[in-house]
Amino acid sequence: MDPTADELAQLRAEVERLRELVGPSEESYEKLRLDVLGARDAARAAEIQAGALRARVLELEVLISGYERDFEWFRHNFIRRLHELKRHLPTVRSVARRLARR
Amino acid sequence: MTPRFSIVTPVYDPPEDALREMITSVQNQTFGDWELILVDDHSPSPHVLEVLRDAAARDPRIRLVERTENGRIVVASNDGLRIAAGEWIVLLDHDDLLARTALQRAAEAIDHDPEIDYLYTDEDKVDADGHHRDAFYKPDWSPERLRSQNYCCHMSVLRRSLVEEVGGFREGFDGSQDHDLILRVTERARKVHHIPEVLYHWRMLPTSAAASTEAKPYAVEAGRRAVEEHCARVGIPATVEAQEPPGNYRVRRRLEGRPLVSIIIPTRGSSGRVWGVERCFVIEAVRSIVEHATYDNVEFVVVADDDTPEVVRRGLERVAGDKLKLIRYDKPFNFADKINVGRLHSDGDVLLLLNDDVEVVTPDFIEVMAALALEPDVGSVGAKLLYANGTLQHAGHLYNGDALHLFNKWSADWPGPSSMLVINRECIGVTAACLAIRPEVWDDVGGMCTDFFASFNDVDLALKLHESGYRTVWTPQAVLYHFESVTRDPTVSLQEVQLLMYRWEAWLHNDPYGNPNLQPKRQDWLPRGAR
Repeated sequence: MDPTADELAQLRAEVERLRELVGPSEESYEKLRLDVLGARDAARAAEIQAGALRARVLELEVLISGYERDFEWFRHNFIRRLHELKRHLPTVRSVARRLARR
Repeated sequence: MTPRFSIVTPVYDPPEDALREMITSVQNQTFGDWELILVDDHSPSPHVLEVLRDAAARDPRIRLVERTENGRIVVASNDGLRIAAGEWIVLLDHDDLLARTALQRAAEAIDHDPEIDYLYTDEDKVDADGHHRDAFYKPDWSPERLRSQNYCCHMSVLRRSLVEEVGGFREGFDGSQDHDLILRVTERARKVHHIPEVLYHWRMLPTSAAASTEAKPYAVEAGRRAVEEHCARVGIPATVEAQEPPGNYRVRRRLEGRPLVSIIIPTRGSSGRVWGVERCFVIEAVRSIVEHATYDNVEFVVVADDDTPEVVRRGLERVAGDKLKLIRYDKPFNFADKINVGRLHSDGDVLLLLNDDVEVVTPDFIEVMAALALEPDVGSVGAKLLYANGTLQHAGHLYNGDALHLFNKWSADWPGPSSMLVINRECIGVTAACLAIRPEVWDDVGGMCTDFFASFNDVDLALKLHESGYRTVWTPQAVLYHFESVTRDPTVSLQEVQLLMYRWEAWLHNDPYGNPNLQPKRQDWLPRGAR
């Protein structure tokens, strides 16, 4: 069989199937088509809204990771040293007291 | 004896403290061979001349020019240039600050390479409380970016002989006189050098340029004209428009003649769901170009795997008509080889590599990309690609310890740090999902390496182009959807990773359009933490 004729027969069958789904009127097929396009646009708008929110979340995550990293640096360089300083505080105090007595 | 650096500072009515601190920041330099030329442009406040005269009287390296009438910044700056004796000119605004080692770093760079004619450094801003913020970590020399914005700005160090050769600052460019001068100097410079260190601090006073959110319209127009005249001088046929945020310019190149553009699309005819609707990707990609693109002198070179469904082949013929060259590919999957095969069947003056899962957003994307690709020193051109949800898929590569897509999944309408996402600029590489290149450049670097059968073939191509001396330009003027998440297999083969490291490991840590002050392995321009 000619492949083009075969394809044509398949397409005709598909048209028949679609007609059965949407009824005999060309108008109802057009309505269905518009419904699909409308649904596509709605899906697209929703996806883009979700994308905008995801991007915002990402932006905040980057800010947080920057702050966390800066805090880690602060903790390492200041708070830890503060504890070390505290450990030596009694010695410093006793030296100061001794000096004051002189 | 002539000093090494002449720092030229036109002064017009700055606050007293800021003026004193500016002068002190120069006097505190660790490198002492300089002169500071202060040009008072007839400031109305009496404290200004008092401070300047006092400084000049105390330090012989400070020279004062007292203008008897206000001539605005260009005239005042030229008065300073006229008496400058140093081999190098440094531009410093009247309320800004130099980092202590600024001149020392500049001297070291100049000593290291005598061909340098212009150098610039990174910069940041200082607020009224003395806090440093908004560090601007700049790329190495990026002429396309300089056409789009004055990213070099401060601290700028210019060879005095070259400044004199171009005639100094030009009248009529007030507000953008630095941008105009840097454009004219770099057109003739043998070498431009970037020091990736913050050596200049802009003061954010209510009266200063760094704090103002509203650019002066005359300055924006002066900047636009400066770029337009620069394009004319260097032979770029283009119109230049001012764009948001202020201080940025859109250079729209004109595509000369009607070159044939070969759009090479590798495909296997796959389908998937986008925005809730099933589509055959390659047919819809070609259809979107046929129906929406404004440039029609194209041929579609579609390299289709042998198992591509017959209905897809017929669909392509129906959509593309006689512009279609359908090439059968009967070997095992190899993306790089498929593109190479596409190149062999192309007759175009420009090759446009395109993934099959794209859709046109800006109808003139072919003209935009082809015009850039046809510039002699441009290797490849990339576009702004969006995911189906409107977020950024591609805004150029960044090789920052890893090969990364800059700002991947970020909001597509965000201008990015220093507006880098809304302007044309050089980057180290661009994705092959949408890439324009001249065939002779493609052949020059041997096309794509087929050892990278699935991944990194574009990274390898980009680095071959870079090593061959070509520029790669990314442009946000060409926008397409790229439904990558639908079609992409995220697996990367170990063999390809190893090969990439073997060939290019050093470059993956040394992106000239990144900056060593950025946190490694991140695509979001996050600065390194405090060290």
